[in-house]
Amino acid sequence: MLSYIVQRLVQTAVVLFVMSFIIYAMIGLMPGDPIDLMVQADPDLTAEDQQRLKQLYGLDQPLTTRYWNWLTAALQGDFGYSRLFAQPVLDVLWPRLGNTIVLIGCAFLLSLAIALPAGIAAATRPRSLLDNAVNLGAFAGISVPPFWLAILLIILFAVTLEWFPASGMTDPGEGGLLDQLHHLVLPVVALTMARVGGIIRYVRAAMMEALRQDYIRTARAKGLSRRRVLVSHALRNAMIPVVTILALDMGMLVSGALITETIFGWLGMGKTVYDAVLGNDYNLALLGLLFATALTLLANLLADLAYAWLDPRITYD
Amino acid sequence: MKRGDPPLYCAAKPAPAHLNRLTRPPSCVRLVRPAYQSEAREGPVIRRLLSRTLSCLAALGLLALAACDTGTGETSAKAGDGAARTLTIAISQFPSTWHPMLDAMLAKSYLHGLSRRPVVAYGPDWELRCMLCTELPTLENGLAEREQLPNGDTGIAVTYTLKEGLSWADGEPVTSADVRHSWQVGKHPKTGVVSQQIYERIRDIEIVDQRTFTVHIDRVTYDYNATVPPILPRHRDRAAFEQDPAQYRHQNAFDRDPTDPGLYMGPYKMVSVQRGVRAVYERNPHWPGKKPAFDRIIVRAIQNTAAMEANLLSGTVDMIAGETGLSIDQALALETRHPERFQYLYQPGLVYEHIEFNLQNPIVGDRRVRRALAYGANRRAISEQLFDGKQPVALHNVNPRDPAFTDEVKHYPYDLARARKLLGAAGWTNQEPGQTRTNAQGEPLRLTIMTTAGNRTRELVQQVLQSDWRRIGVDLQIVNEPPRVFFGQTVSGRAWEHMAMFAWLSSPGSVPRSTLHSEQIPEKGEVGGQNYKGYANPRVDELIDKMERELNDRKRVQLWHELLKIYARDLPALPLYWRAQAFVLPPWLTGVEPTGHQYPTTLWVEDWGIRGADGDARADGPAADASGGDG
Repeated sequence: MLSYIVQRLVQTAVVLFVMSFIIYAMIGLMPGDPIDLMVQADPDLTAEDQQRLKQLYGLDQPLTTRYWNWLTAALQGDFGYSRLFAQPVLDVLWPRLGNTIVLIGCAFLLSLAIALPAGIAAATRPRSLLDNAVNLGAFAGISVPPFWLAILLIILFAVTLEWFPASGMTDPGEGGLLDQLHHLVLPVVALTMARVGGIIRYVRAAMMEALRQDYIRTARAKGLSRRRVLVSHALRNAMIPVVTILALDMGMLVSGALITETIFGWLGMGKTVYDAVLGNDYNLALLGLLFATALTLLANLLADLAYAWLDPRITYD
Repeated sequence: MKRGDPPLYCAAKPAPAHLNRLTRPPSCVRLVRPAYQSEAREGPVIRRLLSRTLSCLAALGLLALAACDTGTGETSAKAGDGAARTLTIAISQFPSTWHPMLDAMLAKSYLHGLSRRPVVAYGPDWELRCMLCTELPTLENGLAEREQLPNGDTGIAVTYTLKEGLSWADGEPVTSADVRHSWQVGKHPKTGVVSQQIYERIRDIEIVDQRTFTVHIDRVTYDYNATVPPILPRHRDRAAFEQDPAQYRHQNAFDRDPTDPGLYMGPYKMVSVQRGVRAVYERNPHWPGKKPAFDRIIVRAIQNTAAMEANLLSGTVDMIAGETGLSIDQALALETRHPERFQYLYQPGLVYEHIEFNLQNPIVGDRRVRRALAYGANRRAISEQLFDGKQPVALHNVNPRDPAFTDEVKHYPYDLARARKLLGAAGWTNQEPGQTRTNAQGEPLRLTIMTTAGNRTRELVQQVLQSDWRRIGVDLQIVNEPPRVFFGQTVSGRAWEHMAMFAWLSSPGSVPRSTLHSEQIPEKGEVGGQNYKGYANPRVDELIDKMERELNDRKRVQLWHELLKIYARDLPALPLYWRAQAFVLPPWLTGVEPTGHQYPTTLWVEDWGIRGADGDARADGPAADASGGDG
């Protein structure tokens, strides 16, 4: 097992190295550079100014030279400064990564809390009223555009009922746990409603498949309790495809919460990386996307390890 | 076995022990229907599962929140008491840097207006005025004097005296040495200052005394008394600059600790900032001017305008800044829905929306075609029907509020007959009205127009123009691109075929050298000026050179008028409209006076007040007369 983990970690490092070049090249090849954006904001910028700034930011160098400079500095722990935030990129990204993990983590747990019982209930009674209701809710969740849902939640709970704040992470001068919870409710609900439908469908399908297996019939025939059959035998096996899907969802740390973060003013990774790409903030965009790549790879490694835990027939020795 | 349980069948012999747990058959089995056929209720199991999961979730959620960094980069602020007068403003952008010379962003100007002041600025009346100085230097009052330069050229020496009692919010006085330090930072090639024009023009800043300094400029230009750098606090900023100018853009005092009171000398000082989210300002106790009405001002960045509107309606924010807030159509829609709840102010500004022609193209390079397009575009209808008249039609590139404006130029009213006649004269004819015109070679008059994809207002205007120009036999193809492709490649690379729609931002009286002088035509693939259309007229070049050096206002206006006549005659660009700023204010707020130029309303924040408050509010401020105000 240990050698397998080491091997996967080495593979992860190689993938990250290759990705760093690909991402750098893709951002570098996009039309326009930071100085072009400055020209649009300031028509008085002269050709000399543009030349000087390009030189100062190293933008007059070939792409490969710029990448090499970045890589050698990064290997020494210097990931450069963010142009958009005038701070070292790690100082920008770490707190935002934490905020996104909280947002997505809470939404993830709430989604599971809803999806597991709902999916299991629907699978155990196919074509029943409950199953139809769960399916309807799931499809509604999948179909509703997240930005519309978010605005709807704000209008209902912030504007009309005034139960929750419309956006932000804390109130100025506040910042206590209750204040944070108060601000977290609407974005978590919006994100959960956007994701839960898909997970319910996966759980339901996987559970229905598991419940058809001979070992379930055998377990029942052995006289095991319903709970044991459902949780220890059916759900455990049904979780394997669900875990795969959830691991792949880790990429959401960058892209999935973008709309929620933007509308609710939640200072997270998605919005930051999006702004960095649009604003030609090379250092920030590159590191943000590498974070997302690393998280996806690590989540998949954890998923592979979870397979072994869920199904003892799977070993990595 | 209970009654009703399935029967139990047992094997005669136990299964071999070598078979593992999964493959070994059980010794006894009870035959049951598959689970999906089962009628047994699983409710208690699901309830237990749900209950346990929710308990775990609650515990994990609390743990996660405890670890959440909601105070990202936020420096501790003095928590205000509930009775404090707080004004919360929504803006749609957040500054990337707090340094006044690095990067030019509207949001930064807006925020700095609360806490910093320039030495001079254009007021809401579009007149240059002193903000920190005692008297505006002019040649007439003797505070500006021509001087001979060592190389024989003529320069100008401009003397300013700072107002008495000015100090940074940490109590240190604002001095002439601060001004000199600011100039040294600005002119250094490695500090990363964006535009170095004004710093390069300054030969020296001579310190006369603690409050008086003389700026020596290497040429005599009309804006001689506006050529003074934004003031940086030497006592806070000098160390970073002297240590390593190349690292200054990362290590400067503003970006290292933006809540340092020593950086601010305006009516407010920033006490807390959460980058990308909000900045909190409280009164600067050392401000010698008029005491502002609000104890605290919170500026929140809400990038999504729908969310911004929801925040306004929920009372989370009190007002939306006009400088960087809702677009005109969003504000008009809000006003339609809530006409009495807020005050709405619309101020056309210096953002000039226009269509640039590619003058190298043989079709639109023909002035008759450009004029025909101008006659064939119903620009008044665009202004009135799309923008409710709040964004007035532009006659040329100078705003009607600018002293250089004149309407004694060639006008292009909506006139289909003249448009058709001009196209016919240019060799584009059609057999039947409504058909696309063709030339002698049978080529159709098919033009392309490009703009920024996703900009709803511009896309609407394109559609109206497409419909208008179809009536004169022009087939208009709309080809839009994402902003970074459009500006970063197409416009700057002069790669559009016929027409490109975008806007220029200028300042009052600003000479259009970068956009009209033939020296500013960029070569393809090279960094250059911004005369992307390729307009070259020797007389215009001459007028621009003269205007920059003409100090007599009356004579300079005459030069302007001649230039505008040529502009309207040659029509290198089709003027569309002046983009307006839309301010949405609470009915109780007074004194907000939109400027329409690059200096934001916050520069006069001490004039803002609360209607009916204890004597310190201006109940007769301009906001009181705004449309929709229920005052």
